[in-house]
Amino acid sequence: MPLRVTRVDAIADDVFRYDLRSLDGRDLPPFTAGAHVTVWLPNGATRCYSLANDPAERRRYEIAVKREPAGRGGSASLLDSVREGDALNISSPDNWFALAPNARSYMFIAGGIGIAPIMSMMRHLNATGIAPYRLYYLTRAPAQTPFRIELQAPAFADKVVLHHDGGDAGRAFDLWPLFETPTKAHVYCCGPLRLMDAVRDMTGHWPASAIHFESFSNALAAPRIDDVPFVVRLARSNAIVNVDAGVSILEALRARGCRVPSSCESGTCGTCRTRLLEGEADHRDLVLNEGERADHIMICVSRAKSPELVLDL
Amino acid sequence: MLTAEENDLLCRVEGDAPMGRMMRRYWLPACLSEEVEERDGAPIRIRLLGEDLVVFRDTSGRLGVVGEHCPHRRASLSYGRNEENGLRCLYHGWKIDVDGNVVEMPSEPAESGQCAKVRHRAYPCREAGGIVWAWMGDPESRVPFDRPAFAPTETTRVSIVKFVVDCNWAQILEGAIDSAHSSTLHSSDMRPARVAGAKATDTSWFRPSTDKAPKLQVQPTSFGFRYAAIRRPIFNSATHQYVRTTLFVAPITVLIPPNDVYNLANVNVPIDDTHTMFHFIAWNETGDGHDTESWRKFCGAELGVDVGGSWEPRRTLANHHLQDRQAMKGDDFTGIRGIPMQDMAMWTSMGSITDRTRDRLGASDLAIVEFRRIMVDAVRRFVADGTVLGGDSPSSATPLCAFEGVIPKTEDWRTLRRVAGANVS
Repeated sequence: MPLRVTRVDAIADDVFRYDLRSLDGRDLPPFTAGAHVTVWLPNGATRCYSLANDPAERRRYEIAVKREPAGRGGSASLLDSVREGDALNISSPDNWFALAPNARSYMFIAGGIGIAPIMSMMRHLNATGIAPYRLYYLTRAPAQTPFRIELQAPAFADKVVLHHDGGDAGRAFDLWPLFETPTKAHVYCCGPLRLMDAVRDMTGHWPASAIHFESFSNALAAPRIDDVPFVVRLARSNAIVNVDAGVSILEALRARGCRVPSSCESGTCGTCRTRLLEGEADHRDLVLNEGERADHIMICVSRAKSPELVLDL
Repeated sequence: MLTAEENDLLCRVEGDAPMGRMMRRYWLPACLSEEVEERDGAPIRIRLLGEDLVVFRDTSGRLGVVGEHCPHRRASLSYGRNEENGLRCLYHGWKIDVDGNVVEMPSEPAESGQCAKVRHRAYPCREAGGIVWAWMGDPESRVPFDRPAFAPTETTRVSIVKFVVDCNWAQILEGAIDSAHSSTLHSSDMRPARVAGAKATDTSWFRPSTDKAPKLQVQPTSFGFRYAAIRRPIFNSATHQYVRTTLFVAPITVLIPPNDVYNLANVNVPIDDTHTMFHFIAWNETGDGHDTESWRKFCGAELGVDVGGSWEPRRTLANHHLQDRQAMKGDDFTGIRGIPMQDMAMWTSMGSITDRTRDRLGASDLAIVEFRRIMVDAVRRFVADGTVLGGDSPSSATPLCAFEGVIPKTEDWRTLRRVAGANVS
């Protein structure tokens, strides 16, 4: 849907807040705290931006855009060419980072621009008062701290710990005391990959359902639509087995009455390891190392890059 | 996942079962030295590989491991009088010495000479590491006794937790090569902390990782295999990894990673197909930091409290291992106190011989897959040509050692060893 940029404010070094409203002033599709929208950028790319405002506001979406010198140029194209009054094409909101209902409390860990969805969450919690929360907001310096002024105001100040490390790893905030002993809180973390990794490494002993990350990267391998059929030849019997797209080698063998030991059928346990005599495998398992991949294949998940594989079966 | 035939090959040890016959080609733990300390003391009944035996220390201090049933009319020698260098059956007074000679038959005419014609089953034995070891195989295939990997020297301090587990030995052993379970099942006793390596106190173990999904790498060796469980550490996971290496020493021993105070081993002695004498061993060569009583207390396996006089645990399947649901509402993950007691609930709940045609293994089970593969292969080879896994690599020739620590990702765990007592903060 096309939305109008009604206001652009600088809120930190290289960070701008964009207000977006409908062209005719009507209500926008509703969203929940933690939601994001996909924006079609002037350079043709798309990018996801979290909504930072209170979901109770029906006429406005607020996003924060940072110029990333090392980025792919998407945000830069937006910052360089989209001004107040311009229109942008934007998806309806979606939420992969929603607040768990009924949590006793919330702990927010934000790094830099990762504050955006958490702003929406805190505004929502301030407005509704449904559960207490605390924010640990880690940035390099005050000037690189989006929403800093607002977070130092009375509505937030006593619930927020702001920490600036000056870019010095030695002055990084010590998160471990927050996580050493698991509590009933739900944890929400958004920020640079290394911050999310640090929080992940400190929360393995927490219930997985209580730890939430927003990363905009699809961690799970989607089903691959470009899988193609191929042929497996069994060296010992010279039998030919066709492996269709959507069918594993293991399943194809099984359908032919050829029994190979297997267990997890997800490329993790190593049971169905089979010697590969000829052909190029498309390895998709988590078992084989680089050396082993030359002449072995996990037939429960891996496929072929060449038209034919010859297996020692 | 195994076939039913492979599962039987792996698990069954009684009678002529190939695995039992292969196990008779290793020195096996019969009992603890502490059970037969006293000369002319009470003989103790044991069962090994489905065979009933008694162990006793004679007047001269020699140890005997002999068949339980008197060769005469098969009454139990465990009731016998241990006197004047032999075990005398109460029934008719036949007396058996540690080598299996029948030295007296008071109920027979002296001139019959029957004493010389009867030999009772007796197995050679040795003592080391607080354990009495027996050779149950053919005399001609007997290999020289070698000190156990967990007691490399005479002065090694060894503290042993021991109890009977009502299930097959192999599923217990698979627990010792399953690093992943420790982060869940034992999570109340092994807590993540800001430590450089594993640490032990009187009440808890600490680890520098919260990672519940270790990545496993296996390295086959002459004695069995070594594997590393690699976890993300709490700090510096971009450059470092937390590595715990464990050694499977065929056929029944596992050396598990040490902490700052002691090394750990686990020996799973098949009593018969469906019972196992489990040994959980803390050891170190410096002699500090543990003793039998506190070790048993820490493990919830105190003799006379948690474990009865025949090493039978008070917790059983029948009483649901006395699981405390109330405690689970607090921060007790299992409701079962004692690390090996938590394991026992899992092992026994899997069935007396777990059905490996029906389990579903994952990435964390890589070492278990390797164990099954090499042991099934080893038994088949033993049947085919009589060779024994690890038969050519006595442990004293290559001192074996587990490892744990946070190391740079560039370092190869296969080259690392560490024994407890090394300085870690």
